[in-house]
Amino acid sequence: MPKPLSRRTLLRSAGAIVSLPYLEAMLPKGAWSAPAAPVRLVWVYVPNGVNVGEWRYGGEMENPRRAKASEIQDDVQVERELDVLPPSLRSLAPFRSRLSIHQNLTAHHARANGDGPGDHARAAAAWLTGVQPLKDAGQVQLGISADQLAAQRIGDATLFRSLVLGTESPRLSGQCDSGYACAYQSHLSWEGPTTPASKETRPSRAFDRLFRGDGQGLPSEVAEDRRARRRSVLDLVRDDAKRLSAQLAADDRHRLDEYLAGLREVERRIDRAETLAALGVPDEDRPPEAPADLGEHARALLDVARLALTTDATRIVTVMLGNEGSNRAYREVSVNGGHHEISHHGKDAPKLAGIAKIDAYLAAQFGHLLQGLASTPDGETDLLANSLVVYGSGIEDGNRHWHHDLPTLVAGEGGGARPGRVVDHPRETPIADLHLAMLERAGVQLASDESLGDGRAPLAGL
Amino acid sequence: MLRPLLGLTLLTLPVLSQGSDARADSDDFARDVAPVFAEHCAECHGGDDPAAGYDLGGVATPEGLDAFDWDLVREVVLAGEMPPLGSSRPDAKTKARFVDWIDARVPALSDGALDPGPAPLRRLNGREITRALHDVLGVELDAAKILGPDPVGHGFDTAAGALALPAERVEHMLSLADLAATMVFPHDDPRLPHVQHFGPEAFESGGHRGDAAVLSTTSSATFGLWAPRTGRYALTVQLSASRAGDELAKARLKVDARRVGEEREIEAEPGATQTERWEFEMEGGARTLAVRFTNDHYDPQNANPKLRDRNLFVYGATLEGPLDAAQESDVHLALRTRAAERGDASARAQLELLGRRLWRRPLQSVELDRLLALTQDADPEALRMQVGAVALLASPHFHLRVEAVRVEDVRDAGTTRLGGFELATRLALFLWSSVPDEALLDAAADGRLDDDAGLAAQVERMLTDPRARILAESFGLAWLGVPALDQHRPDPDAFPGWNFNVGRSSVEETRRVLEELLFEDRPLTDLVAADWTWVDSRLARLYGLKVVPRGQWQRVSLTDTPRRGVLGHASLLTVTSNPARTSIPRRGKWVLEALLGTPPPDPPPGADSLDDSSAESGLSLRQRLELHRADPDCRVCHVALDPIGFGMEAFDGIGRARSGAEAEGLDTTGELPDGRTFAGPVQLAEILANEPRLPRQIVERMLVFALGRGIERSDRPAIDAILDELDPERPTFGQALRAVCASPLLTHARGRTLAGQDQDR
Repeated sequence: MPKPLSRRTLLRSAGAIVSLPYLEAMLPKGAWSAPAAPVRLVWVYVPNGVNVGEWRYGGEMENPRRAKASEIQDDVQVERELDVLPPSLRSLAPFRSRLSIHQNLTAHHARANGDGPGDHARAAAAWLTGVQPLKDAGQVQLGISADQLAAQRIGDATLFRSLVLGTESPRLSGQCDSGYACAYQSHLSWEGPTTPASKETRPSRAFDRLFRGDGQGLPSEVAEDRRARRRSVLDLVRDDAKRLSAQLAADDRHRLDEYLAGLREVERRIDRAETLAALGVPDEDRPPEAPADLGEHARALLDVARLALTTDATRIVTVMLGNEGSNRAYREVSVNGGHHEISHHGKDAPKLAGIAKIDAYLAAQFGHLLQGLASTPDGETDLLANSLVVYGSGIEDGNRHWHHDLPTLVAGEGGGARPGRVVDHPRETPIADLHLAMLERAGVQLASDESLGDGRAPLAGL
Repeated sequence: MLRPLLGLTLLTLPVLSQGSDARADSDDFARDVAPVFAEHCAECHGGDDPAAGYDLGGVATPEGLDAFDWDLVREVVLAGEMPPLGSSRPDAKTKARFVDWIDARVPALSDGALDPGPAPLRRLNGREITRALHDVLGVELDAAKILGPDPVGHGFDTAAGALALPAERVEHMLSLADLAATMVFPHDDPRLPHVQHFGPEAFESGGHRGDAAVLSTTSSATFGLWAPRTGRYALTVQLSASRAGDELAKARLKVDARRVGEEREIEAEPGATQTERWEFEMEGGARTLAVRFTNDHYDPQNANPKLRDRNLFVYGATLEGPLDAAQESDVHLALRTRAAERGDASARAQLELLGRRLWRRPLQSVELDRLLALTQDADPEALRMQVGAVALLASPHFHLRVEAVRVEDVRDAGTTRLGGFELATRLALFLWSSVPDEALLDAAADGRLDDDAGLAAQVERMLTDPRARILAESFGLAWLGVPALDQHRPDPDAFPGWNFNVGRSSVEETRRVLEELLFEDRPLTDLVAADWTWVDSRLARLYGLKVVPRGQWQRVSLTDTPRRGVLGHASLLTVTSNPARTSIPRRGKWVLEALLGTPPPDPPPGADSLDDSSAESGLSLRQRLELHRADPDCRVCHVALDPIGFGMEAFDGIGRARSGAEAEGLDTTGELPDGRTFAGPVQLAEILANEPRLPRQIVERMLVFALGRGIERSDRPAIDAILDELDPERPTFGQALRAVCASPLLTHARGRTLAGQDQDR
């Protein structure tokens, strides 16, 4: 059998640093069967809502209050061409025809629904899960998120099931939002109801994990020894976990289940490392250890995301450009107040202007990702054409903590999406419907009785 | 604050016993409680749409509320939060009788039986793993950096319900096990090349020319490699440089962006080469090395074409190493020596000793057999130990604190004193953020932890051990929320006096003060009222105190300043502020939450932050907050939050005392919900120091940290007992720590102890 080409070899022979995506030639025969152009799914989240007047298509909201059930007309869906981008999204102009603005999507479970304050915790928690988080300071209870559902169903095709990144670490101590455990505000991605997925904030570490695999460059017999030893350690540890689990009451077993799931994933990767194409990314692409400012940090993370998609290390990426409720100041664009602080703008003009600056700045970072995807060839076309990339927030206007008409962009033509439009969905359309549509287009099969949180059906009009 | 735990049946049991005192209870209820509900509560908490869903007007008998809600009612009435100021409030006597009735009822509810509460299984956090690796294996690794940060619950990184095990963490746990084991049991695989060559094609750089990588801007030529293990390495690089300007090209070496060794000047011009050698320590694993060109120069107008462009040429590199032979570590030597003293120096005997430390209990022989089976084909002994240590470190027995096997119904579980080894682990994680040492394990094995005197002796030993000092950080700083300062950047225009070093010093001040409070047996009141603190030169300047020599820490008196206790610490005053200004409600909220354990009630749905209309009205902040408080929806919280915040307004957003123009018109007076008034932060500190909630809160926070769970209603009798242990004249932190360690909440658990755990004693 001819040795599969390593991407590195291809990169070198190309004589320049170009990114090469999924190529059949690099796959050993029968490694897996995948559609010719797999759909990549990307979610990018920004915290604290936006300055609606500068972000929403057509300016200020027409009807800022939450729609009553009696007013919701399910059959109304209006589409227009996206002829001009709102001011905060101007930097995305090169991609105007490749993205759509979706209006009226709602995160109902980000609302109090009797749980009192804590909108920031709930916004991040509910955005990608469609589930109301348990309000408790020391215990988390949510549901699986769309990206992790995809990771579990179709992630086996790649060495890494998914990639979860963010610019801010979780809070390290103290009380979080209004009596919620801290994990909600800093984690969109949930492997299960009690397990927020690890989120990597250091671009260089994310890079090393993806592209500087264990034992890379070792003589093959040594590497094989290492793998064999790793496997027998895994066997032993799994045995420990199973024996221990059998001794425990049901409510403690889920930690052991998490342990076992983690071990299975490590084992899968050892197995797959031999069959999946070797990943090669130039050392020069290794991001800086300590990014200088938020923009550099965000771009470095988004570059790692792009490289991961380009090399088919994963097809599912989630990026949090800030923890929900983050109060960092954006000195990068001369906004000195804290983001959360000024998001409670009280219609104060300078604060609104500050929020608009932050919105534009974050959108520009997103543009960097789109640029990267659009300039990466993928088969006959480019990577963006085979991707669905969501950009949005779980809060509409930070001042009032509204969770309807969430700021939402969807870029890319993956799975046959037709961007370049403004789509007004019926009021109170769950944003989980958008996630369901993405899962459907990426080939994730859900059983008829299965859904994602409060999602009803894949969103029409993608 | 008490919050219900899902699925905990004890809380949902019928709370009132039926018995002979039932009649007396209901007579008292009719006299002391029902009228209060009717007169002072029912107006809001009654009718068809009772506020917050509490229909107190409809509570006609003691059974009308469950135990949890009685507790909540007691807390808010006692704190003066309810009924809110401005509404009809019970007089002091009525209030006292009301609270007394609940107090008399509440202990009766748990029918006298000791209930140590749930003992949730929890995983160790990064700090505990880091310190365990240090204490047991002598390796310095920051586990949190490798495993990722720990989720926080109840304000601490020890909350069992929050410490999840996502798949990626398990992956990193295995890597960490590998890394630590190869560091303590190094073994050089003879099949690995001792010398690795890298030609110009191995370098990623701006360009290549012929046989060299060319750096024509200030940039790096990087290459990746695999370092077999942590050790000393030498890299020789062949270089040359073209010239321009008045200095030679300079090159330096970086390992994963860390600069190593000296910068070198490159004299050799293209055509010749110069060999530079760097020797450095490098961690094992995948590394990225970079030869960096640091001083690009371009002078296109220079008359001499050979002096126009300074570029660096890299022809090749050779890595040699590890240079040091794999040396047996002190830990390995000590293990073998101890094993030999016991008559068996085999790898099995050594792994038995090591396993006992890492798993905090004797290994069963079947467990040892399985470890040995894993290592039998490994040779030599260092490799055998390495493989065994990986398995020990990757095991759930290392990473999880498993205390008791719970049966499905807690009511049937009974209560037992924890086994010696389980208790030893609890104590070590609590007091040391580490695993037990040999002495503690010996005490557990000898049954010395099974009685109160033996336990007290070990606790005493542990508290005087330097390892206990971590409590100032693990418990103290986390309790106060100081680590969040890492994510807070004061605005340099608003607060030019702040920089990273000031921030770091401010954390160190609080850590030192907490260390003194905890270990010099200071009174609990010193937390908020201490008229002393620790400062270095930066803080002395920030606080306007007498100059302190650079690099020194001094304990200073604050009697002549408005600063008292932690409320005057720059760390807290900064972390409770916005980047560019202070936040009055947030500071008030911090005091209520962190110091008194009485977080303000939730604002009603739809309650807004400062009202829109007031923003442009030109009112002062105090006036706007007063306007905000005029709204009854907002008042209930802000009447408690704002006065405290105003008292702390004496200090700006980085903890500097306001002075000059800033202090003009500054009004730091306030009135608390219960009517007490104060003028300025010193008086506020005195009031807080005398708050009866303070000692309870300190004890409760210690328990939450130690147990890894929230406070339950069933904990109250045991907490009362701990408080009774404190010297009423001068309660101290030392007393509180010892009483917590001796409490049945620490020493006991629901359910049986882990089956088979003690059989190897």
